[in-house]
Amino acid sequence: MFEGLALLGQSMLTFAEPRALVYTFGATLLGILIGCMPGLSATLAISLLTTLTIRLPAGDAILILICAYVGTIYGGSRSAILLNIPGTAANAAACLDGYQLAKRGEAGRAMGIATTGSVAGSLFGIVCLAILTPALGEVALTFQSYEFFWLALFGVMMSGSITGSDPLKGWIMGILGLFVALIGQDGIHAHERFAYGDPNLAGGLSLIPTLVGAFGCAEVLTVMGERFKQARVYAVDSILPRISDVLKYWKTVLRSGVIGVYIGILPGVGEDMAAWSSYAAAKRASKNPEEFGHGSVEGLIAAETGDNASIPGGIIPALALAIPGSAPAAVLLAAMMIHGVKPGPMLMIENPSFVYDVVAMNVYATLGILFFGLFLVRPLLKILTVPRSIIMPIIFVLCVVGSFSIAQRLFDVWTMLGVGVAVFFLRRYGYHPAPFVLGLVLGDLMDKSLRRGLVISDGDLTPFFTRPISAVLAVIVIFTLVMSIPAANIAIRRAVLGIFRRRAA
Amino acid sequence: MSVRGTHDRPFGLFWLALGLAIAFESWRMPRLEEQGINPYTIPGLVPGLLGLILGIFGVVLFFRRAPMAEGVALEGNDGGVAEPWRVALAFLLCVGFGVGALGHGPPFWLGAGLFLFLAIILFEYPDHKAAGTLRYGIIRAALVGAIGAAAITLIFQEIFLVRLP
Repeated sequence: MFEGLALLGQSMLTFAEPRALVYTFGATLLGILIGCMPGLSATLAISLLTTLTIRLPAGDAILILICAYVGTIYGGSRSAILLNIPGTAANAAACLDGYQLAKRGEAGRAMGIATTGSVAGSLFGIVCLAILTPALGEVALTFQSYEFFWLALFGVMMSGSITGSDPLKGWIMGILGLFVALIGQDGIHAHERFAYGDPNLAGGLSLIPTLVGAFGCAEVLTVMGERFKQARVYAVDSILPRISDVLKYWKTVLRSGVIGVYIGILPGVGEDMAAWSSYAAAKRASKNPEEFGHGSVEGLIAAETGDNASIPGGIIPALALAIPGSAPAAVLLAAMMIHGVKPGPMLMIENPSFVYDVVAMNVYATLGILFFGLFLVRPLLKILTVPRSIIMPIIFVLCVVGSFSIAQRLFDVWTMLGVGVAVFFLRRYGYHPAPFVLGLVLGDLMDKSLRRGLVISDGDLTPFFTRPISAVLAVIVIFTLVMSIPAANIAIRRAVLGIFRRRAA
Repeated sequence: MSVRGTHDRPFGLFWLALGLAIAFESWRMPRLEEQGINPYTIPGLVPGLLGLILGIFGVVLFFRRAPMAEGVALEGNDGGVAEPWRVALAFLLCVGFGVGALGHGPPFWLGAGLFLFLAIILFEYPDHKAAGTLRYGIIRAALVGAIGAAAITLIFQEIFLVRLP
């Protein structure tokens, strides 16, 4: 424990020098600005910045990405409160009460509450990140290929089940992502799969251009294809949070923090679900549930605490297991790998200081959102007045340059465009891109784990179902699949209700 | 706006066909027996299984009665209304810039500047025309195009040392 504290102290000092502070505040500000702009997601921000920071040292690059991630999720609350349009999907829950407060002339108060909730959620998540990552890493040391196979599949299935509105379509996207990840040389025998002699395909579809396509190009096409009404930005009163607002709802902050971290840890389930779950739990536990949706301070605190707590939550499995907790965490994981960091169970043994570096980066990012949230509110609101007809073409040029900059080949630009066009169409028919991203990141792990597991067991499938953790994960995956079949779902629910009724009688 | 639930059958067929094609291609993949590899590590194993699962999901999508309940809103689907001409124009401009212009002659700064200018003015054209501010719109689009292209070129080429297409 003391060793961990010493490492954390060292990491905090590492990033307390001028260059790192410039990166911290610059990236957090950039993240907030991106988050403010409806349509630009945290995944897009991290994907684009990964391409920009590719030549920086690993520590600096990951610091920038984490600060941008935290800033984007926080910044999305601005447009949620002032325009009733969530800047990112994670801030949709904040619209319900934030916008109502703004309509009452309390936009500043709402933003102060959002800042406080975000900071509290981030700090709670950071504590969990510091404590749970080493613990989970230690447990994961006992994992073999069987567990990693199920974890990868579990991540994709969970993401498919929860992130969209239709689990079946989510799973299809997840399977598609897993398949696309397998194009190119396989990880065991270096045999070219689905390349058909094309040297570009033989190297596989590059991860970052594919991600930029799925979240950047598709988003640009979506927004450019839509007509938007001129939004009305409400006047802003004092943005300083009232201490009474925070202290009064400490239980809500704590509960939302726990929910946010828990949902963050679940593979593939993102900040939006954390915000909605925290909001729903706060409403259930509130003495004034009727105020929710009509300008409830408690509701806004719950939503903003939940989504920000899930950021460090999503990083926990990414570091300890190399299984990302959300789509932005998947891109962050990919960026870490590009920069030579190897997340996974061996991280705490090979590079223990890195975990505490990430904790420190989160702390500095939180300080960044606190600073900008309290002192730079009005100038930041100017971004809301920039028309999207100007922003989106610029974002597209950045998508093109970013995709090209990874390997300086036009094939990556075409990959980005192809994936972007495909995801644009699929989204219109209810196919969410988040499971696709999870599949893309986890495809290689799942492929190698299944084949290695089969080699170790000499083709025997029983270890996949009999080892304790494998068994639990297998049951969850199979149960999730079965519950999605309407007839089976109804039959199981009836059976469970019947058991409860018999017990009650 | 999302169009959901009414196109499950054609999509089901598409996923089935894609899944079967992936499974078939995986089956055709070399088993590398000449290298004496463990038969459980053949390269086509996992893609083949994924293809079969995708095919099964396609069948389920085709035959299921009604789409599941709608829940969380799609990312980015925040109240905007898609207009066919805007979608078509967005495609034309993005694909034209990404595939047509890049690496085919014009320098990056010129291609990017033209793309920015055309995208901004064409998408804002109806509003400027209605408000009688077309000249202002053209000047603004040209300025944004020139400054944007110059800034991106400068930042990437000189600061991040990226060779541009």
